[in-house]
Amino acid sequence: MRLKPIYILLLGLIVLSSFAAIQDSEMRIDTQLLTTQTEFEAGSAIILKFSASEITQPKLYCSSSYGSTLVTPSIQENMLLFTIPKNISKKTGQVQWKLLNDATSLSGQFKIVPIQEVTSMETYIGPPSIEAGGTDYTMLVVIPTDRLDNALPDNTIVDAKHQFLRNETSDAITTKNSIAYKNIYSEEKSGRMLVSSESKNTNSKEYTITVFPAIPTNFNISALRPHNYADGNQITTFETSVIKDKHNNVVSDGTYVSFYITNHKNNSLKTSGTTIKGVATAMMIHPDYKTQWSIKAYVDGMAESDMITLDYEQVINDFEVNFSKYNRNITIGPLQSFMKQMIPDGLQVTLLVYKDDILLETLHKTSIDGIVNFNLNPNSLKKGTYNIVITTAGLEQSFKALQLW
Amino acid sequence: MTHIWSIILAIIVCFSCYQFYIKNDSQRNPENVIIAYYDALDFKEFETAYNLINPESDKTIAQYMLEVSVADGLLSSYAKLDAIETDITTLNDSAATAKVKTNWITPLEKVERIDYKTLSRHEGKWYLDSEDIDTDLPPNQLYSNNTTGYFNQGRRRITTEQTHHEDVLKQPVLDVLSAKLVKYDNHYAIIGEVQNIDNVPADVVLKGTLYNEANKELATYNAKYHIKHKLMPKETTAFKINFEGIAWSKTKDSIPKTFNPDEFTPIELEDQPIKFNLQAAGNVSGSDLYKNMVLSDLSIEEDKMKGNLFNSGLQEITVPQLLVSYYDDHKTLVWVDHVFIKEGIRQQRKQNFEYSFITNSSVKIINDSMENVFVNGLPNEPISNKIVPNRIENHLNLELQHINHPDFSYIKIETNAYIGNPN
Repeated sequence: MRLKPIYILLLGLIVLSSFAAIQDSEMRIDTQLLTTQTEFEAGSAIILKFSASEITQPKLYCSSSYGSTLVTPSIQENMLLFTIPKNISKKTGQVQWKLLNDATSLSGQFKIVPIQEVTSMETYIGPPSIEAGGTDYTMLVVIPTDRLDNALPDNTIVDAKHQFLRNETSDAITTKNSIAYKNIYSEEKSGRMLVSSESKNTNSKEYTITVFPAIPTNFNISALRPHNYADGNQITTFETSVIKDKHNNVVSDGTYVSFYITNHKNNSLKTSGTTIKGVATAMMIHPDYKTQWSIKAYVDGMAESDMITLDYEQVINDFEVNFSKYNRNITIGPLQSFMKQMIPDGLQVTLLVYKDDILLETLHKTSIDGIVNFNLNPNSLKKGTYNIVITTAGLEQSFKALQLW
Repeated sequence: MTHIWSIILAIIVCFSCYQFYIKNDSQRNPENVIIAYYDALDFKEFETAYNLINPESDKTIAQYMLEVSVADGLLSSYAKLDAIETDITTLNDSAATAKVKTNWITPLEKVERIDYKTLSRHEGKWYLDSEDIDTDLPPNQLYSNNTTGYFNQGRRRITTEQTHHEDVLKQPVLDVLSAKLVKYDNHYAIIGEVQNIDNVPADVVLKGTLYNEANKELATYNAKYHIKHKLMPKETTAFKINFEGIAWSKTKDSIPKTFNPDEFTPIELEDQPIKFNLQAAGNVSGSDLYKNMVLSDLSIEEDKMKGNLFNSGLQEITVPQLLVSYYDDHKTLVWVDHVFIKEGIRQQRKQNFEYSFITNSSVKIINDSMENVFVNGLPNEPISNKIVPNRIENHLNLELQHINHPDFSYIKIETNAYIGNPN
């Protein structure tokens, strides 16, 4: 039984070692935190003082939201002084510390609070344009910060100020989780809104919100024309009344208004205009035949105008046709307008050549000085009899059994 | 023996030279004149072209050059001749008529054109007869016009740092009025209408995605030609998204030797598209907002329409475009087509156009649910309800143009202008 002394020796060692541990902690019990302050202002020098009865210099483990570090003490009059580094002491928040002894778990925490002043205002606003009428809003978000860029504590008062037309409004809002916000609603009028904020005598810069008018409401249209003749040359101008939204704001410049014109053939023609100070103008060239136009303007899905009708009077009531050179040269005209003046250049004349009711050729020409000349090519239209139809300005003349040589 | 060979060789050489001369003498026969004329036009050799014009026409070279210089448009300013085919329809010893079929390549599309030319012969040489130009004169000399201009400062502060928060403009709010997935002749498209319901002009980008029944993504593409990309406040446009695949991605595909502006590789879908997603995005735009294109006359025929466009503004329209929406008898939008007018429209002038209605018209609406339509990343419906709470639905249906077509009952014509040379 030679094991017995070994057991005894081992047991004795264990007992001894536990004694040693107890003795050790009893020695270190003197190391105590002397600093009583648990709240520090950001940026101030934070020094944790510990009483020290011992020559060993334990390190201090510090942990904040920005990271963790070890701090080496300096000794002064039997005290261990731990200076918390700047990168931790500058930021607000909780700091956990732990003295790194071998056995003791001396630990604690302190709080760094923001400096009670506002140096800058971090401000955001959006959207930068809203609609008039009181339902659309923009959100102002303010984060007042101290000079070390720390957000101020909850319930810091921020004045959200805005100017609109003659009103200057200031609303006190408070921060929560660093942020103060306010929804700024539009009013019935459109215009520019200037927004700023203030906290502890520090002001933000100026922000601009454009309050656009709401969607247009029904309007009227009118037409202006130099004469009411269908000469295919002059321009008729359509104009809307001042288009406003339901709050009496003039709609924003550039609003697209489409004008639909239905003529006597029930065909739908279209012109368009964009508004300037609420008035949209659209232009349309005169027809070259007698017709009646019904005009109605729309802002698609939102508003429409009344319907107006315009009559265009026939300007050419009859035209002369002369045949020469074996009927191959056809002169149409003079085409005269309402005062017997020559019709402005560019009136379209169409000549259709039929043989036995089969359309052989369609020729288009435009007038010069009231005259249109057609030359029938002997190469394509051989000697024979043809039917010829001439149309212009909505009129038609036909020549049956015309002999071509 | 050598003598015989040399004589034969000499005959062959002489005959070849003669043939070469016959084929290349530009005024020997009508075909040569036409080819020489179009060749000269294609290479902008207008003096050569003028010399092929009948000297008995009273057109001076200065007048000819001037007429060429004022003609703008897709065909006269942006086209290159690809192929020409002449067909002499009638011919005698002093005159001829010809049908000239030309194919042109433009940046936008291939253009096929048929011209009817008359030719005449003087002193043994063939000449082309000169063409008449449109003699239309605008009523005024000087025009004034008021428009709203826009300018975006971008970054107001001159800085290389990131843009200030307040310098970022809000994206204009768009409203997708309708969107549907349709199947037309074995290919799928998303069609619909979109409106700018904001107060600033918007540049519109539309992106459509197709899904099968199991919500598997099949294809994604953007609206290309079938949309007015720039919308003024409250302006509406019809749109169509065609789904295009990746060209020449397979080894068996051969890359064409010439540029084809109409190159379209239909996407190969693994499955039937059942659902779709549409993302509309607007951005504030201050340019290309020319809207002064007027539909001034229209006549509807069985299979086509003819009409006049009038430029009521102060910019020359280089490429006028028409967007034609087709509706069924319940005035439901079923298809969107477009046409580029080949000729430009000068200020305050008219331009006639012709458009043939689509013929193969088996259009089937597969899905018209607006569930997955998003505007600037947000669901479409709540936004549009907020800004336009009491929308007059299908407001412009009253103004649709009736047509006599076996498959469609109405059309809507929208105009869009591209200005090549803004001033």
